[in-house]
Amino acid sequence: MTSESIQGFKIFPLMFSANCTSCHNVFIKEHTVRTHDEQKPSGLTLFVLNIPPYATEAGLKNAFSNVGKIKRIILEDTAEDQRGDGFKRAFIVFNNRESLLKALKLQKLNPISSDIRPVKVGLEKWIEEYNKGICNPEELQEEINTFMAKYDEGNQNQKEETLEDEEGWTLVTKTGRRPGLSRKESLENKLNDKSQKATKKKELKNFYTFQIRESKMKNIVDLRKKFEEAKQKVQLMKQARKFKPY
Amino acid sequence: MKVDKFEASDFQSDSNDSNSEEDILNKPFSMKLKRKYEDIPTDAPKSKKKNKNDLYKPPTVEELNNLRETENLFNNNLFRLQIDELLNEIKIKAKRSNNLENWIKNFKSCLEKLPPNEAVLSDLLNLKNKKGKLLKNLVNYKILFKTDQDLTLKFVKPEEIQCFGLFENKCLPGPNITLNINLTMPKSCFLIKDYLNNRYFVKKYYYILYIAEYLKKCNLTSNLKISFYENNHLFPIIELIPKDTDKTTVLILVTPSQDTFKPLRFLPQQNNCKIDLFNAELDAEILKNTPTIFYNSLLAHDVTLYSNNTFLNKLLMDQRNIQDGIKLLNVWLKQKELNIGIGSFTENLIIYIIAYLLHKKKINKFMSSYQIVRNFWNFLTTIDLLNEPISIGETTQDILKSFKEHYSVAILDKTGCYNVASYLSSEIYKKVKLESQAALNNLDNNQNNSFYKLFLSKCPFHLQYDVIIDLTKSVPLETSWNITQKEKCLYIGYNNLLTYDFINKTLQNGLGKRILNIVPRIETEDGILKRLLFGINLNPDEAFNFLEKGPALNDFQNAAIFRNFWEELATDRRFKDGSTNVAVYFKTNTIKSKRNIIIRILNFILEGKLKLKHKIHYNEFEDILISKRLVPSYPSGTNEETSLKIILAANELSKKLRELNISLKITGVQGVSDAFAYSEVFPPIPSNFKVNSNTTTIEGENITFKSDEKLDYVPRYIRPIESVLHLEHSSKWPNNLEALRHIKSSFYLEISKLLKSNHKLLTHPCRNFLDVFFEGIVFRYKIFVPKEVGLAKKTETGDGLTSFKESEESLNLDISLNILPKVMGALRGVQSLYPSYGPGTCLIKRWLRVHLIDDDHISDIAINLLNASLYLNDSLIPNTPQISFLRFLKFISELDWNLHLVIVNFNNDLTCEEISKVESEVQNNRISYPNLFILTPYDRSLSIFTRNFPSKEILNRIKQLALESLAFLDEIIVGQNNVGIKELFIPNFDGYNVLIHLRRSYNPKRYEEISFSNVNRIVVEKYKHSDEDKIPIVDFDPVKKYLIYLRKNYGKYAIFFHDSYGGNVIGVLWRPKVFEKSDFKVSNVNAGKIVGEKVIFNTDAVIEDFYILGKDLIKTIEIR
Repeated sequence: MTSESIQGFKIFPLMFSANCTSCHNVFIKEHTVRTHDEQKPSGLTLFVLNIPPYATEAGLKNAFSNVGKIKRIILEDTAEDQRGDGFKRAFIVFNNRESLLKALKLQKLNPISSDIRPVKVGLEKWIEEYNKGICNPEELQEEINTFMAKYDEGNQNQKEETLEDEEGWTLVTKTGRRPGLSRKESLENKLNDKSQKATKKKELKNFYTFQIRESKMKNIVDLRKKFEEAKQKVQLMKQARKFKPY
Repeated sequence: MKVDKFEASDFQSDSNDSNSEEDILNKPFSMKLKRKYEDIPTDAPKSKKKNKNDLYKPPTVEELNNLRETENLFNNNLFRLQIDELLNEIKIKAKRSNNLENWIKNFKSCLEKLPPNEAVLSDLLNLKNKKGKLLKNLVNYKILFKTDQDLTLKFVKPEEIQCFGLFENKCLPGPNITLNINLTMPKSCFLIKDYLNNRYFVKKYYYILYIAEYLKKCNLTSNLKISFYENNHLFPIIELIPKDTDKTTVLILVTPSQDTFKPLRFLPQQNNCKIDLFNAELDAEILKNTPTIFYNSLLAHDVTLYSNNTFLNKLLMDQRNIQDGIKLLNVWLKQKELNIGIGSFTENLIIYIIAYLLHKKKINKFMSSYQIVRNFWNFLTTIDLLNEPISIGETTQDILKSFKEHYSVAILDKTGCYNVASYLSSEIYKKVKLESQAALNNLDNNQNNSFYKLFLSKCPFHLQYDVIIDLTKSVPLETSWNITQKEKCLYIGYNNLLTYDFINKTLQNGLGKRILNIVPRIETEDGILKRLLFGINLNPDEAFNFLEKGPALNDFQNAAIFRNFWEELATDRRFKDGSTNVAVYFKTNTIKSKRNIIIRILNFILEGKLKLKHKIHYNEFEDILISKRLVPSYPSGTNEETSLKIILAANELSKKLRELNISLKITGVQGVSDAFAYSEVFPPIPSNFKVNSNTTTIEGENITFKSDEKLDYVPRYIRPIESVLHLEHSSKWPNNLEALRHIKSSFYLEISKLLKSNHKLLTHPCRNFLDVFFEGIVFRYKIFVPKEVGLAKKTETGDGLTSFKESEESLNLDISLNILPKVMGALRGVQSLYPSYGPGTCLIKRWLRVHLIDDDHISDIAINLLNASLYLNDSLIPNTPQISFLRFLKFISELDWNLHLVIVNFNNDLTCEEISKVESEVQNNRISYPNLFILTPYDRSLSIFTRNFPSKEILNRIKQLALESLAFLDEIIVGQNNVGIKELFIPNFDGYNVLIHLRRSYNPKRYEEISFSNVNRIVVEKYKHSDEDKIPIVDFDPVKKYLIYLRKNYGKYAIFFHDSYGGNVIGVLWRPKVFEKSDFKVSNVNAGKIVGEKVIFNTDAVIEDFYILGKDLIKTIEIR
């Protein structure tokens, strides 16, 4: 099978296993961007589009098993805001450039699931998941203990840091003799509200004639607004032909 | 709002002398002033700014009055506007009324030319008379009345032609017009004693026929027939359709000239029919001495009609608001279908009651139509007409008393001699009273769709009652019941009423306190009985009592009556308090069979005592809820018994949990699973679980799958019963999310250890939850720590400021651990108040799911809430699961989710202000809120349970399904179609693009599949505690996993449908967008292939993906 290409991408059919009848097309190109990314070194990275949802890292390794050693595979969701799209794009980083070039010259890709290293799907996969979900209490306890020990240690370290530094500066913390305010958004909002309220309190509400008049007017405006809203709603109902009683 | 405290002039005078700088700045309408001076043209382009100024312009007197009126005279703006709209809709166009007026003119001039004629009755009937064709034709009609004399019939032109009724008084709601015309027969036609023995009726009848024959020739009508006024088979009238009109009927009544008979002759205690002229086999002596009440009423109606009409006409003339009020009431009555058939609450009654209220000055012409309607309802609610007769005209106490004795309801007319409610059935009256009460409540609740419920929503008979008895099969009624001669004489001419009353009384006798009322619906056609239905509203407190306690044994007389009634069912019983009574005991062992007591009583009465063929619509649907393939060992009907077992076990277990001595004590356990509110269709049946040596093995205390073994089938689905644990307050929870979660896990471990050591329970602690096996049920517990939600919200902005922002994660956490338990608690409350709620909700779920709309389209909790809204908002509470389901169908088919929020106001925790605030917020920015908005007190007005789903398409689909189902039901109940209800539960697979067929043996819910025929039953053995117990494979559902996976990965390309209760087919619908061709771009190549230069959807590959992903689970994939 000779592979076609479009806009610099080579098109390869990618099958799940050898006995599949139809296949997805993946689009492959060397990864080239101006910004440098350590995870995706230029010259070594292959950019793959339209990877079907069931393809795992292992699956892709299967697919490119003929090419050479793969350093890492980065799978990315296409668009984060779009729900329900499981197709991915991948960056495959090879150990050396030869492998990458070889990959681009490939005639065909291996199936994702091979006999030697099968990718589990369907019932098998769900059964495996279920069995994995069963927890061993002792192991769990062990894990918690190690995590908490680490965490406590981290906390301890932090506490020690809060002492005076060499130049005599003291770090203000929540605890201590004169705790500073914690920098929280909600707290700042509260403070703002408080100051606003304080200024409001100083005002007299119905002292001047204009204030009384204003409040009356406001009253009317409220009524009008309500009326408008109701009118709008009735208009909508009318459009929905709601008023035909029978 | 204190609008009434100031006047428009306040503003006008102010605006003239406002010159000071400050004033202009601060006056809200100074802009307007400025404009005036600058002379800006009024037709400036409309902008937002201008709108704002509109709001601030000085009000006119008229506007102020209007606004004030709305507050005072109407419920609220919306209600007022809706009234206006409705009245507009039912207005009769001037063109039509003019047209009709012209017709009346022609009609009158036509009758002027009526050729006079005279004939003797016997001649007329014997065809001896050859005088004219008109007379000859009269023979062709049915003989309605017999009389005792050979009468001379005079046919002369009517003395007067009077239009009356709703249309004449401008109280008729359009678009159908019914015009009543009253023709007065001159006095010369009658003799003094003609009121006796049908003589008057015969004369009137032939007069009518004569006129009818004459009119046929006059070329004024397009369709003319003799029919019966208000279904009264002794009240012939001419019914015609005027020529060249549309939707118009004219009814022509004939009455005697005013001074022909004295109205006093027809007071109830009089006898006016001395001979048995109706073939009722009556004893002549008894008849002579018995008042003939209904016969009298009929005559009284005719005699008083003219003066009543004049009175009403004068009273209602030019009273715009009162006319509107009557129109609204008519619409209301019609929607509730209470004006249909014999004994119904007629439109005329509304007029007379309004006249009474006007007369008594309880309403006046300054009231708004809303107030008229409200006062009408209020009057009906407060007065008990069964015991308090009322009269419009002057009358004496004695007369009132005698009316009260003879009629169930008495409303006397202007003359004080005619009871306008003579034929009103007391049961229908009671129903109207209840409905009025409900209507008032509805107004007071002031919800935004109360108007809709009152005036716009149709409420068909079969949705108003818990039980419908259909006796149509036994029509015509041939009855051989022992009814006394005396009664027969009283009812002379109206033997049919006597029969209905008898059936009603017998039913009342048998059902007693179990019911609120039995409402008859008697439909006739041409005076002949066509349909006989009874609707029963149950009394929820008594309806399902298994004991009918009779009188004490030593009360011989009454005990004998009781025994006589209940026949072999009656037994003598001694009770715990030492008393001995006759009683009927109904043996029941499930809640379903308790509900069935009603059917047993009805069958006993209708079949055994009355010997009537009947059909009862009451609990047929409950059959759908019975788990047929998997049956518990204990007696069980629907899901209720198992739910109860689960709740009891859960309570016991939570008691144990609370007593545990752990570092933070458990302070509360809140149920989350639907089973707690009885709304889980298939709650897990308590059972022992063993390892199947072939496929499963043991790991710790859990049964797990053998890893390398190929399964023949997956074990049946075990639902865990979920609850949330609350711990004592503590300030020591770490400030790090990860750490907090680890501590939570360690709590699971701790609880698990203690349960094991103290109670020897099987437990399975996990990272995120704790499973406990107790009494054959798996309980799943999660701990709620409020701080966790807070920490999940925590984010840090660039400048080191910590802010708390809602994220999907924190919201989900909050929903599942905080909000959901609260909502479930409230739903449990609803269930305990209204026991039909749970099983009713189950029916709804079963129905929706079977039509392949699963949890992902509309969630279980959303359905729970929707149904709860019906229980909390409606005044008519469903008493059986079936009617709960049927009312839901109606509700959802009418729900305008775009305009209305569904309000589920548990315990009335939300105030009116809060509700209307959310309502206006949603209305102002509809698109940014969920399609279906459910407002509860617990979810911060976010409609959390419907925030992403259901989609508009699904809502429309549900609506469509509900409409279809209702139409189908209509066919069964109203159309007497014999098709089974199962048709409602058969999905339609047409229209899906792809059908994925699943292997039944790998579907763990295969036992839940719906079936109507007999299937193999598997009985679950009773749970016995044993040391070999293991925690079963729980919550393992490959089908669900498959669906989740499909939706997550292919949801953009297709929509998936599946019946979550054991469905073996998944329906797939491609989204229409998928097939659009597009250019090659890195962002839109997914699931595509290249054809030419374009990307198109790779259908084959995706379908093959479906197959690959569901390996082993899928049998075939069918592409359509």
